[in-house]
Amino acid sequence: MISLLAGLFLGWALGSNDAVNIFGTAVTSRMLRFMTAALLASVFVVIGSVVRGPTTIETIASLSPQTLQTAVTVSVAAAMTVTFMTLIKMPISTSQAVVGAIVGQSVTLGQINYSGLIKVVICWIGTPIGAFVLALVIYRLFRFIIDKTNINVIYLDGWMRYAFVIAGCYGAYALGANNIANVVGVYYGLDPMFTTFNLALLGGTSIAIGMLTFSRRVMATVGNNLVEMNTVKSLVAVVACALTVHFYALVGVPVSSSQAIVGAVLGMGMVTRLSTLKWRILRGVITAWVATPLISAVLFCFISRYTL
Amino acid sequence: MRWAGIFYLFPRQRKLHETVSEYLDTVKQNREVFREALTGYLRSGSSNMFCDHVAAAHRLESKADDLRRTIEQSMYSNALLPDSRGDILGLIESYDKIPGICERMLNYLHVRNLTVPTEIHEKLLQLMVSALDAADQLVCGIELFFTRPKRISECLERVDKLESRCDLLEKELTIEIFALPLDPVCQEQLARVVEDLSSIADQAEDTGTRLQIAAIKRAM
Repeated sequence: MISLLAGLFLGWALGSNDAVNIFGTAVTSRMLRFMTAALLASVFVVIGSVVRGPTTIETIASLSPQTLQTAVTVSVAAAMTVTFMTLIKMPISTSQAVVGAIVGQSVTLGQINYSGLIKVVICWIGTPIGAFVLALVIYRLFRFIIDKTNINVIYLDGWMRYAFVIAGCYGAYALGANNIANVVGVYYGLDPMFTTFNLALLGGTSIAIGMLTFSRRVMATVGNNLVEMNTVKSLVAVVACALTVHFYALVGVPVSSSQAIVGAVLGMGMVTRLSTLKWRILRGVITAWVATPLISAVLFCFISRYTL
Repeated sequence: MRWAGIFYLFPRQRKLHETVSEYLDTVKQNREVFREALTGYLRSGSSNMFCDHVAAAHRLESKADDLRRTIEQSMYSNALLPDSRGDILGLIESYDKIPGICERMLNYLHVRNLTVPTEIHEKLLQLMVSALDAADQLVCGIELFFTRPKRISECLERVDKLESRCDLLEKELTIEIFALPLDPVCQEQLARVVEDLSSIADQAEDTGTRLQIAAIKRAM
């Protein structure tokens, strides 16, 4: 169980960072109270982890055979990468950190499931593209509904609040379903107690604790949005992100909700005008996507010299 | 209203909607009182009825101020409409100047007990009607902003036309006033009345410009 602590710490980091993708806009615009958002997200992330997490857990577990030592080393390398990227205020992808560490493991020890790895990488590329397209489609649908119903802008505010709650709960569910594999996937089968259910429950709980304890501070620094968005566009981005992440959870591949939200936000940027896009931030995001798995792989190679 | 029942899901929003509706009604009543007051003044001077109208205009203007503050407090304390809040409050603040102009004008007439020459009565009434129509068209635009922002252009075009007509009437009236054999002080006072009356339409146009920008932002 103690060996699982590294994974649970990763879960905590994931929860504290990814909650902003789900409820960030609603909380910072004061449409939702932070504690309401955090509690809802915590409950639904655990439900998502337990209900749909096992499929993605098995995918991560299949990438490379693990021992307790390698599993701990992967988790520590990924957690250190996530922490480092957070400290230098770069956007993080826990999926990429974990898979990067697993690739580092294969470089060090050999034995990697290349077909599984290729499947994961293809899904990573598909994530922001899919979210981008989905966001455009969903936005058109929302606008059509708003224009057709001539809903009073005052009551639209009320509908938006409910919509943010529902979208946020769904987003948390999808996050748990998809990303639980990053947190505990490498531990699957290494101990009789490490069943998919137990791992999903413990990992989901660690993500929930991260959301409750540290995500408020991360939300307070939201303001580095790629694009200025109104409430409708923010909601569309959350929904598109949640749908994309959930889709890949059904496929059984853990993907990055951060990449999905970036793709969705870029879609909203297309609706407004690309000149409103903050290119400097986008460059930072793309740099982080490339750097994260590399750093994680290098860290695994370094740490494994002392642990394996 | 078909969907009225469902809006009980949104008590804060419903309360805000009711307050905004009450505010717009109050300002409309203020304009009606002003119309009756000025028409009566031109007919009978500073009568008891005119004094009652002045008091009523003051009450309505104060009530409008209170409602405006309630709207502002409600929006900020309940964090309502974060996207449109600034625009809506700016609109209301701009529109709220109109009842102030009406009240100020009536007080001006009441205090100075101004005699308005009959030669300019008809044109003055035309100016009053056009100015108040501009304000009415503006309200039409404000109401559309909340539900159909793309349709407000029609109302704002009418505001613009009415404001141009008011400018023309103001100029003609001012020329006529200074052509009349009156005391220069009286001429200046009458010119001031005409200017104030026309400023209702000017304020409606200014508010219309804000409304246009707010509607464009809402549509984005």
